[in-house]
Amino acid sequence: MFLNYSGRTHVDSVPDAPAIEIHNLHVRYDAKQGEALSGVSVTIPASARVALIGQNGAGKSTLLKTLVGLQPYSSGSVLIFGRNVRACHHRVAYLPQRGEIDWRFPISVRRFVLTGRYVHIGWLRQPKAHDLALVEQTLERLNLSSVADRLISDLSGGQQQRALLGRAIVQESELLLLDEPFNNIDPETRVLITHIVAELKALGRTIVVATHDLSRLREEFDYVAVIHDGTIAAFTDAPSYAVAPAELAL
Amino acid sequence: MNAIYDWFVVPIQYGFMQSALFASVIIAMTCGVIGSYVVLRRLAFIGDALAHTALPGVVVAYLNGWNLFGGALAAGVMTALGIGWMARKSTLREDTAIGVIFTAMFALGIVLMSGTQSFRDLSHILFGNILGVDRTDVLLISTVAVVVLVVLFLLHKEFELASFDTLQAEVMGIHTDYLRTTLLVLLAFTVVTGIQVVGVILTSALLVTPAATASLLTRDLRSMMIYAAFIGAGSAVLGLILSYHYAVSTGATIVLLCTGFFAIAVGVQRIRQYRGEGRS
Repeated sequence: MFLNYSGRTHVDSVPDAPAIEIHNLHVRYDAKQGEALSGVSVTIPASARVALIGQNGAGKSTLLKTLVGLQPYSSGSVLIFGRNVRACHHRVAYLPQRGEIDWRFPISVRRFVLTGRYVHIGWLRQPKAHDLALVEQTLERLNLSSVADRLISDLSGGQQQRALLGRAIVQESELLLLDEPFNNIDPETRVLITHIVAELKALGRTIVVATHDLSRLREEFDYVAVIHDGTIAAFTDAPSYAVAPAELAL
Repeated sequence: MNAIYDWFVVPIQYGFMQSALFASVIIAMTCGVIGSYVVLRRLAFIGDALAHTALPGVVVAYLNGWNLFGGALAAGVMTALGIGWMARKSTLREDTAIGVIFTAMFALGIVLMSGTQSFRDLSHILFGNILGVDRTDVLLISTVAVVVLVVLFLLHKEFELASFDTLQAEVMGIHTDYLRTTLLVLLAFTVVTGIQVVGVILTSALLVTPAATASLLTRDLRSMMIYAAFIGAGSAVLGLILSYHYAVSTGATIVLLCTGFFAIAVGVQRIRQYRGEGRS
């Protein structure tokens, strides 16, 4: 147990609990500023693909960061599979926006993807054959095998995004939170990411994708959550979204 | 041929030179390894600050008859913990707070030093005195080096991850603030040993220059650490022997050699770029 990063024993999810259950969530970055999230309440069922849409600054990234425990909240409650966020490090994978990472750091693509396994490996232990095999398999699936030994700084924007997705996949988490994975990528990478999200859903995973791309919401997602001014303005089936006010997004 | 052999071997026949050689190689190698993180995480300013803040610790230890190395170590570790605390709590920018504190601590050290009757005894803290290390110093330096290198080895994957993606490390449950403070404490340990070789003023050169040189020659972190360790060690050996023959400051000679290797690496990189090979 003490070798786990969180220092806690892993706990099972609550049976039949939704993937995410947020109630009246308030988040404030600074006492002088207004609230970044004000009274967010939403329940996201397990095994669903959810598009989180909204204008820049509406609170999409803040919500995702709160769900992985990066952003403290002032009041409300957040449960992941019925458990507290702090008990779910191994259960949630987070794909940050590309700008959050120092891409000039000298690390190969293979080792970068391998870092996704660290949450299962923990302190003082080294990756085992199973971890390495999973990384190779994921690199292959993401068409990154040919650049696996290159440094991450040598990758194109689309390749960097695929490497980030690879790192989230090898974590084998039940919940994946992807922050704007479709930004500034080539069309092939966009299609690949969409296919992989569908594959993950077929495996029973829950995937929340913050996105500005509204072109294929109905085809690519099961639900759409619209966030506006720090609160959830709508949460609806993706097929029904066409009748929702599109101006809330973008 | 014999003349070259003698040039290298004759100085090392003396006991004090053997201690100095052993100590300076150990210190330079440790500085090279941790210096790779200093360069990649842009901690050069903090490294310099840790070296300068060791001065009052040394003077206070001297005035009370304590071990000088212990005094420097205590001051360095306290500064490292203080920087870690400031990074979490202060509203000031970290580099501003460090700039204020380290210059104040250095000034305090100078005031305390000038108040003693033996300014010369303490001047080696400013400029280094590797020729003065005794068996106890060598033992302390070796112990510090082993501790620093073992901890860096055991926490390599976490230090590496937190260096380029703090968020991912946090998401996995790693307390990156504590990890950073651990790195700063290791840095304080290393810096205090570095002071023995080149003194307070030049210690950051031992941390930064070999690692910066290595970063021009390789793009793999582990190779960078190994290259930096050997560049530092090579500079230490050559610097010690050159300073013996030409009767000049050992610490400053070592630093100049480090800089010379850096200049050569820049030249090699330029030639590679010119030939269109790029770095590999």
